[in-house]
Amino acid sequence: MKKPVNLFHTIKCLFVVAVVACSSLAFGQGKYFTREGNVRFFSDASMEKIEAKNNKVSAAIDAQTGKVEFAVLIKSFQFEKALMQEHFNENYMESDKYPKATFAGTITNLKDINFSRDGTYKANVSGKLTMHGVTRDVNTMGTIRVSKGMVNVSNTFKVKLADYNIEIPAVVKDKIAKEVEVTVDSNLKAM
Amino acid sequence: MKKILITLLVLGIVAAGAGYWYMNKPHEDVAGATPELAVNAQDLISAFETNEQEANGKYVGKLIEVRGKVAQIDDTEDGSTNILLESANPMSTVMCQLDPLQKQDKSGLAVGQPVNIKGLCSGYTTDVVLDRCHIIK
Repeated sequence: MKKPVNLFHTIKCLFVVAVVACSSLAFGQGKYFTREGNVRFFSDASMEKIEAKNNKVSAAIDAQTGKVEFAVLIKSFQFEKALMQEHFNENYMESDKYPKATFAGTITNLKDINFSRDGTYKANVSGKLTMHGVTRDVNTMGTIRVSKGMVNVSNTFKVKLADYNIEIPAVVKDKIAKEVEVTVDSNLKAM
Repeated sequence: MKKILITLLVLGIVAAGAGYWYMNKPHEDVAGATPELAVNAQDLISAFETNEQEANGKYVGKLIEVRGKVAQIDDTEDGSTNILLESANPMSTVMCQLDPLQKQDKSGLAVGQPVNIKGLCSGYTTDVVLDRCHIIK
């Protein structure tokens, strides 16, 4: 007598679970990640232009919560000139002491971005940037481009070196800009 | 008087030459250098997972040799090649980027193959990262 009722209940539960599972997949609201993200910076000073690239940046985005995380290893920045790379690591960033720069924040206009629909979206990101032992609030606007299941994050923003206690000796002050331009251009894949 | 002037001139040229060489000195030679220490991939990752600060002091900035099994070979869009060495946790690898400055032959590499790689350790994010890597033997 009891058996048919229980069976129907079980089937109903399974059905609900299946629908929920399918809709999560259909909405593509998952996590995106890369360990080969690109970040470069550019210093435009009166006497010299300096450029460095890092193509081993770790980045993650949670499409559900809007959380964004970046981790950049300072020693992985590549410069054309060895001496410049040495000064950058030893004198300015002190990378032996502070090997990593990190950003942890959130996309504040998450509802404007549809991760399961190909397109280009403006993203307002707010969070904390930690570099050279200093943490500061950062608010910036970047672009999120969704294309065939891949998410490209791009953003250009300025960093004032003094804000992060990065000292430029007077001797080279015309060779390094007080504010450097940082460009993020990373492709993240669904996890 | 002439001798002094000539001496000063020669010294000046030598100093300028040395200065120029210093400003444009080459990047560290990795291909011909001997690693300071050797470790296997799993132990290296575990060291950073357990105590990142201690592992930073021990490995970061040093030329190290890592032994491991190839989990993945990534040829990225900017022309670089990353060899990922596996660990017990699939999300955590030792990522070795082949040296873009001193090119080498990587045709023999395959997934699943054990390999010895030397490179400069730059730290830990989700993976332990090695720059300017060279495959040993």
